[in-house]
Amino acid sequence: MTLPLKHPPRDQWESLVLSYLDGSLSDADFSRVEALVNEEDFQRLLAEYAIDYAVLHETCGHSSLIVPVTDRVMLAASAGTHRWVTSRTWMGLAAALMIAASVALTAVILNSGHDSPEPVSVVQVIGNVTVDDFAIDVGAHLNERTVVRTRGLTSFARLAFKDGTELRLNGDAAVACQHSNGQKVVKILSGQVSASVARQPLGQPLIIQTASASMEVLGTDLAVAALDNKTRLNVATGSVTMHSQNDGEELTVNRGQFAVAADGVLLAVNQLHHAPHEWKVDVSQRLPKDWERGEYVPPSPAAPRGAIRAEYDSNDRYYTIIAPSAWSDGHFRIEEDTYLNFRIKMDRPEWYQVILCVRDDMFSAPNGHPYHEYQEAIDFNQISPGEWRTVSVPLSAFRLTQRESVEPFLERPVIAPPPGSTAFLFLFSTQTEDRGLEIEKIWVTRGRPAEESKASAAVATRKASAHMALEVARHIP
Amino acid sequence: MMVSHRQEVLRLLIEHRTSLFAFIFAATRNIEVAEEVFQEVSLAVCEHADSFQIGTNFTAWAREVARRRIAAHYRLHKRDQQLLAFVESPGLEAAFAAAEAACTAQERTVALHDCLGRLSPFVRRLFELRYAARLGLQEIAARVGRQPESVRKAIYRSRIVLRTCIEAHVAEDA
Repeated sequence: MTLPLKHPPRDQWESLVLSYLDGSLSDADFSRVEALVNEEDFQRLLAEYAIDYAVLHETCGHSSLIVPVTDRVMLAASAGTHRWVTSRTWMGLAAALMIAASVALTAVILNSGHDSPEPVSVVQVIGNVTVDDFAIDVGAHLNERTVVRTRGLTSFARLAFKDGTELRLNGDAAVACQHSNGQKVVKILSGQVSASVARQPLGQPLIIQTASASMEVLGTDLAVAALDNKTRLNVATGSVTMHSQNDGEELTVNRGQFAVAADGVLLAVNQLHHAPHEWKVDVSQRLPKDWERGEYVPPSPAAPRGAIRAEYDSNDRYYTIIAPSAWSDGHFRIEEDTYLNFRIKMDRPEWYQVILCVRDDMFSAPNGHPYHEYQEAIDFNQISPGEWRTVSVPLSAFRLTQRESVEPFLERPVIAPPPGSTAFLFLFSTQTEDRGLEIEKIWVTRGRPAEESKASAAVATRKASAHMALEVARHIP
Repeated sequence: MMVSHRQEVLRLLIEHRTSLFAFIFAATRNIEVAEEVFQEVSLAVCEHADSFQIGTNFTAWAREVARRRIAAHYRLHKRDQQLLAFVESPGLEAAFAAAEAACTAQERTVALHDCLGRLSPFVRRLFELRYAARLGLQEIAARVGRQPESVRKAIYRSRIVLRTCIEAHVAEDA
């Protein structure tokens, strides 16, 4: 598609085309456009930029969180494929479809002897949420067997059936929903999905299927993690019948319990436990098991303690350190006085963020939003490159994440993870900038940590000693 | 029989909507006006679907419908007639046809997604404010704490980078 422009300077033409499309041409430039309008290469450039403009409008309209999202229209583009488009841009198309629908409806009614499937609605979207690789947003309706995907550890989607049954996709997950004649079937292709299931009609439990198990739910709160050939079912309220896919063996999992199906075999039911209030990980000697992302920097003569360094990922293009995900069991339970503490250094001290992913005991998102963020508000010019520092942050200082840079961190309302919620994942990131971020130790405490208190006490002692020395000096003749 | 014909026309309209909208936008240079005209064109395409012969060139037919609607719109609103001369340029239709033939709307969207991801967060924010929130340069400048001219340059530079990236992306796929 490279444009074979024979008449440089292309960049001048590009600037002219962009100004033309922007409606900001001067009279003189408008005359230039008029003179060029019959040039084949200029026309091609104009067509390409105009199409880019149209796609940009559509794309930005889909993914933006800063624009109030109005209703969306689902379009059946061609057999087997679907995409959603913004109603504002494509209202005409929607109107056209209504005309077509009035014609097509007759055919549907005539040809169908069954109840038409009830759509599942998208009610919340955070991060990368797609259907057929197209971004979707709030208000979209999902057709039967449409696969919804959330991509990336900090993506989230909430889907709702008409009866109020809700599904929540956390991190990397994919589901397909079917609902016809009163029977709901949710296929979890992969990932972590929690559900609050409204009471289902007798004899028609909601069925959740994974590669290794199927579950029948009459009305409860539950969470399912489907990873490779293993399925873990956590039940928060009510009870769920779980069947293995291979031998049909079944067991009942009650409130506060979990069960695992692996390689088609059901394992025994176990009790769910709250995550501990305190937690720590020390990476100074080795990289902990299952660490999601981060490059281990082993100890050396110059640096006797090892550390974990922010690692670049070519998919999201971010430099990030990501702790292991512990969605089912949780890393730590949050209380009003919980502190997150860490030892950090940066080769180029500058902005960084800490993101904490939390859930409540129902495996739902407290505050309706699982991702909370902290940005240290200090003068980074005062920090020496490579200097190790201890940072202690009360979890009450965290705020909800937003799409990048939409609203400065300190201007956002303080909405911290509530007491009683469970942190299951956290990460440190400098986003697209490589600042040589390293973390040596992370620990969670109730109250400000003793280590820092000791350090403060040491500072106070030093100040007192200095004061005494000055006093003594003052009395020396 | 009529239902399937109309459905096929609709399918083609959906398939080529981005290019058709872009054609209208190139002629009108105003997103709100382009949306208004696009609505009229979509309705006209539906109403006159029977006059389109399946198997012939849909985009040429739809652009002809669009061309007339744009002319009607400008006659009604007494806009600058220079724009009409521009739309009448015979090569413009060929340019859009060539751009469409180079890659499908879906390929272009995938490429654009990928290329957007390579831009800095600041530029992506500018794009959001400009193309999603539809703010003017003055307002964007006020929000990001820059001069309007600096914002304009940043957006233009990034649009050119984006175009180069999309071209490379599509060439690679080809």
